Amino acid sequence: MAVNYFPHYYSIEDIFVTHEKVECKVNTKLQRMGFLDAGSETDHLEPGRTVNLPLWYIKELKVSNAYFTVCVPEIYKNVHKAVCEAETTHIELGRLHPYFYEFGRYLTPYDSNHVIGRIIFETLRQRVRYLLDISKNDVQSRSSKPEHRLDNIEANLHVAGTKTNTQYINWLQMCSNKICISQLVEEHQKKRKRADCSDDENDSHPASKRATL
Amino acid sequence: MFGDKAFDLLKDLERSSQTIPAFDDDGLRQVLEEIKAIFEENVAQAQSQGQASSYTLLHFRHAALQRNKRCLLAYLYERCRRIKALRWEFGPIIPDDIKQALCEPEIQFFNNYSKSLAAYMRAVGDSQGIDLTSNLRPPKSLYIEVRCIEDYGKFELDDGEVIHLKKNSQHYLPRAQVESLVRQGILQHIS
Amino acid sequence: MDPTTIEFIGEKCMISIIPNFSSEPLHLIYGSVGPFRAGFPVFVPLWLATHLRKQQKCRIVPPEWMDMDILEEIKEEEKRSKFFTKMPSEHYMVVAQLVMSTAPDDVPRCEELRTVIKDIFDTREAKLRTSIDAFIKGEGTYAKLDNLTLLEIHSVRPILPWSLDHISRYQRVATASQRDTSMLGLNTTVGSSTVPGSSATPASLSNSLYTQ
Repeated sequence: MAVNYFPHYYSIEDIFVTHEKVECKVNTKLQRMGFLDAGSETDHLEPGRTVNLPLWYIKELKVSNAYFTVCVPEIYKNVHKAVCEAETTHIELGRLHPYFYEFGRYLTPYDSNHVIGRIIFETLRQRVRYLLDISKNDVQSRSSKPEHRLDNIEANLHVAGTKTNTQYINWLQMCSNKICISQLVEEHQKKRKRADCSDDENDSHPASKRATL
Repeated sequence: MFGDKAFDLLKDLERSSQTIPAFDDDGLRQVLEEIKAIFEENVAQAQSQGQASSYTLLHFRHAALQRNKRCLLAYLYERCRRIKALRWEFGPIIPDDIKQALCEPEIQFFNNYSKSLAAYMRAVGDSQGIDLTSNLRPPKSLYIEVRCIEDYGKFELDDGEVIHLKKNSQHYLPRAQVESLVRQGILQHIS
Repeated sequence: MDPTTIEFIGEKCMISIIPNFSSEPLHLIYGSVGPFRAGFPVFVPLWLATHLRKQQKCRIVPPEWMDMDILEEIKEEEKRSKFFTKMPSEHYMVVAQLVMSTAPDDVPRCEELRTVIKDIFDTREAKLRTSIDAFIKGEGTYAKLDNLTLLEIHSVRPILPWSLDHISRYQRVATASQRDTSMLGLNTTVGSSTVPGSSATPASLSNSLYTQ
């Protein structure tokens, strides 16, 4: 059953977001933490170096911790102008960052300019119309998934939107009263067919090899 | 990096979002070992004196340990979620090849879930019970035309009549009684 | 909600049929219908009407609004109005769909009517999306959905409520991080632009009411 994305402890999507790495500047000498820095020559982490740390660690740190300074990624600065000009629908958000919104959400406390929160909020606000439109048009044109156009949150919304529109079109064409094969069963059958096919291929391979030898 | 192995477990799960990949016993064990190793290092460090300067390291390791734990639990949780979906989509019997992907406690979980669901469905609906897995959409007719996709064998209707479901044969049958066969891909609903 | 469920709800609408048989009243769970007298019109629920029609036991009398002149007028009114106009039936799409597919011979100019009704729905749907956009970009906190039918409301579900959830989620971090700074001219540059023909008040696009 489809529900909206609202991250909790078990959310795989949130775990994916927090796996993302962020560039951090080292502020003090950190004993025996040299393993975080591939270029380090000593056992320790030296001040002035930059290291990439996963979000799952950063979010455990105090924002004003003495050890690391989080460097806010350029991508958010880059969309700033587009946001101000209300031109965000042309941005290929998925290409920019697969978790544009959620990643940005985690970084808001570290952003000394206080713009990221505003940027992600305004970006989504500006793009909802676009999401509504493409999820309608994609059903009609049967075009492919807009992977690079959308971030993860948007892609989920797009799936929900196209589903609604597909149901509506099926209803108009009077074909929604049929009982359908359940989705998991269908996937399972497809997978079994694929497995059968690749078995055949494997069987034929030795034969063809023999022929060429 | 700490936590990468645990993350791989979840990546494996996400890659096949429509099915259940084989239970990764080995991967799970490796993560547990990593957790244990981190824990022992932290204990050793905490017990040794005069190491206040490596507090950050202690903290980092602890975060990694918590991260591993979260990934493992999320892995098990997501699998349970999909196993529950199996009950609704495949019915009370899981196909063998899917069963092979489950570990013993997961099969147990499926059986218990199936039992609770059955008990609940018997309990509601004026003591007659309601099959909640049927009529997911409002039914339009009592009988439907179906074509048989695979050889199924004999099928007994509620009134005692026995029908032979042979591949490519077509039948006009009570909707309520054949809905689950359609959902399981044995029959196809044709109009 | 699936359109099939909306259809199920819409099938409760009463419609007139002319049966070609006579029979005592039928006592159903929801109430009684009939008696039926051959050749005399009687009101029955839509689901029963289509059921009887499929068995050639009646002729369906199309509702009054299923008429070319009336619908053309509704269509023009819908195009003219900034607001959603009131439809002749809460389930006009469902009624049209079921009557026209089960009994096309009972409806004069059936195909033309079908097109007009589809046009009306499309006009309203486009209007709905425009007002949603204006609502989201504006500063309103709620919108009224007067005169929208169930099927139309569900054409933007669940994508709209889900989007609103996310927007408010990011609005919270935005305001939390910005509490003590008033830099960035975002507020003034975003919001009122891009919607064709929109004025400063988004409420002018639909009859949605907004509060500041």
